Parts: sequence; structure tokens; C-alpha cells
Amino acid sequence: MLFVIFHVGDDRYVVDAKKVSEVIPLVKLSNFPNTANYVTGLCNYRATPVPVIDICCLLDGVMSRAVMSTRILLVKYIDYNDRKHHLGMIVEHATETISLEIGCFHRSAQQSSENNYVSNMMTDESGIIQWLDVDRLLSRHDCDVLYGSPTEPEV
Amino acid sequence: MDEQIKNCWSTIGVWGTETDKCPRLNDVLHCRNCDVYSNAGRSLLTRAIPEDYQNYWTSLLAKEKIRKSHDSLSIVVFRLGDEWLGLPTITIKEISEIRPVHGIPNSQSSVVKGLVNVRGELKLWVSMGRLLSVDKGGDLDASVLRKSFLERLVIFVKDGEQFVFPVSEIIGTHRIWRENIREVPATAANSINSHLAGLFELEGRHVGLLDQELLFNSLQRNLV
Repeated sequence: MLFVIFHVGDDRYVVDAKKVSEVIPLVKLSNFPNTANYVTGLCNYRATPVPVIDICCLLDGVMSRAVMSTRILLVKYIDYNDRKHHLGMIVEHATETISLEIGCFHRSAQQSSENNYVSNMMTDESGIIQWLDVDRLLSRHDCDVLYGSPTEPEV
Repeated sequence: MDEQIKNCWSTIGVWGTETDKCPRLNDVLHCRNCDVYSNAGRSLLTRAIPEDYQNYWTSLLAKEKIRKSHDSLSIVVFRLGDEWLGLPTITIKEISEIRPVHGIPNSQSSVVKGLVNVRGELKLWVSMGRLLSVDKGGDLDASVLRKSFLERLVIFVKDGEQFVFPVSEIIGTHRIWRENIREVPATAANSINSHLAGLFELEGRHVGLLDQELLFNSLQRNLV
């Protein structure tokens, strides 16, 4: 299975390449007020606003560095209500894809909590690779803030 | 860029002119195997994002993606003498290096040159240049060695029949939008144009797209 690999600090994470629709440079974002600190802003993606979150900030509490290898992964995000959205993820060192055997992954211990987005991990000669589950990145509350609550009619 | 990259590879490395070569070359043989070189390359990705680059991408991404049509054709482009020609990739079974041709005694055909052994199968070797009346071309600057280095055999297949013909050079496989394939001008009625399905531009050159049906019929007529 093909994955997009990136770094958070010194740790390596992957996301399923099938979930990634585009990898774009770190473009200029509009501010998204009243959101969690890891929501960097809104990206004008083909005339539709797409919320962009900073994965380094979400996982590590440190903002991503604004360098060339820091890029935005535009992923197909399916929320807890099975609605489909675009979501931008700012990640560092997004320069490569990697092919990994799905059988090499181990289930992570913390399965029960609500947003256990790191569900699987594996090891190779240079350390641990953790698999981010894109669909579980956002909590219900944050998802409602970014995309609107499913009970409210969409504006 | 904050720090200047020390480009040792163009002074004491393989691209350098100095006589004292880098001692690391004894181990790594070539600069591209050296971690100094690859780390310098990687540092290009850790530099700050230029403002105009960021502005360009921001405005590019904000626009709607425009694609006039989704209809494209994969074409193998090759050179035959001075002519640049293409055939749909689907009609080409294989491209291989030049092999010796075995003549057929008492063959009257000027197009059939003989038989060639490809993976244990004997196939007909035909001269595309003769069929289309294309000159071998005067590669004046190209040496004989270079010429033979670029020559390839193309195995063309149609309705289960296979023909092998040599070309001067394979340019590559290119995906061409159908809307970019123009009609052949009706005024130019020579042997090559009567075999063309269209014309398109590639890297500033005009490439003639051969019509597989016409080519196949013409080859069959010229077998005897």
C-alpha cells in the first residue's frame, strides 16, 4: 500500500496515499477566527474554502516551519456523520511517498479514546512509523466548528 | 538562502577542474554518492519559501481547473531519417535493439527486407523508409557510432500480424490531446502524407501521426 510520509519533529508519520488528492506548497491562508490553535486558516482551493490544520501543532504543539519542504496535503476527509469534505494538512518534510506492507502494522494500544487518530504503527531500520487516520483527526466539536453542525441547515 | 552552499563538487569533485581531487571520491567514486552532495541538495528544500512562489501558487490554486477535454492519445514518437513520426502506443508490441536481418532468396518486394529473429520467432523485417519514401537522411554531424547507437527495431502489431521495422531514433511515448492533432494538409499528396492520420507538434517539431489502418493495408499490399 502506498503512503505519503512526513515528519512531525523527529518522528515519522504516514497517511494513506489514496486519501490525498493533492500535495500543494504552503500557500497563503486566510484567517479562520474562533477555532482551535492548530487550525491555521482557510485555503482558497479551486474557488472553495478549505480549512487547513497544522499537524505539527496538533500532535506536538509546535507550529510547522515555513520552508519549501513543508507542504499542504489536501485530503478527502469523511467526518463522523459520513459527510465528505476537503481538509488541508500542513506537514513538514512532505517530499516522498513510501510503499509499506499493511501486514507490518501493529494496532496501537489506545483504541478506545474518541480521536485516536494514530491507530497503527510499524517499525523499520530507522525507527517507528505511525499511521495517521485522517478521518479521525478532528474531534466532533472541531469538525462541527470547521464544517458546520449536521443539524443546522447549511448556509 | 541563509547560508551559502559550499559547492565542493564543482571545485574538487567530479565536475571540478582542480587537479587535487576530494579524498572522499576514493570511497564514493562519484559526487552523487556522497552525503555532502545529497545533503546540499536536501537543503534546497529546507530554505525559506520565496514570496513570489507562494503568491503564484496561491493564485493558481484559487482558480478553477480548466481542462478542455479528457480525450488523449498515447503515441510512440520516433525519427525515420529526417521525418518525425508517431504511432499509437497500442499498436506497438515491443521496441528492441537492432538485430541481424536474414534475407529471403528470390524476394521481389522492395519493402520486405527479410526475416528477423525476435525472441525465437521469425518476423518480417520491412523498410518503413521505402514504404513511405523517406530518405535515410543526412545526419551530417552524427558519427556512424552515434547513429547505430540510437537505432531501434519497432515491432508493429495489427490484427495479430506483426511487422518489424528499424527507426533512426525513438523519441519516447507522449500523451497528446486529441484537440492538438491537426488534419494533414490536403495539398501535400506524397507517399508519407497519404499514410498520415494527423499532425501534431512536439518540442517545436511537427510530428506526423501514422494511420495504423492505412499503414497495415499498405504493408500487406507490398508483401509480394
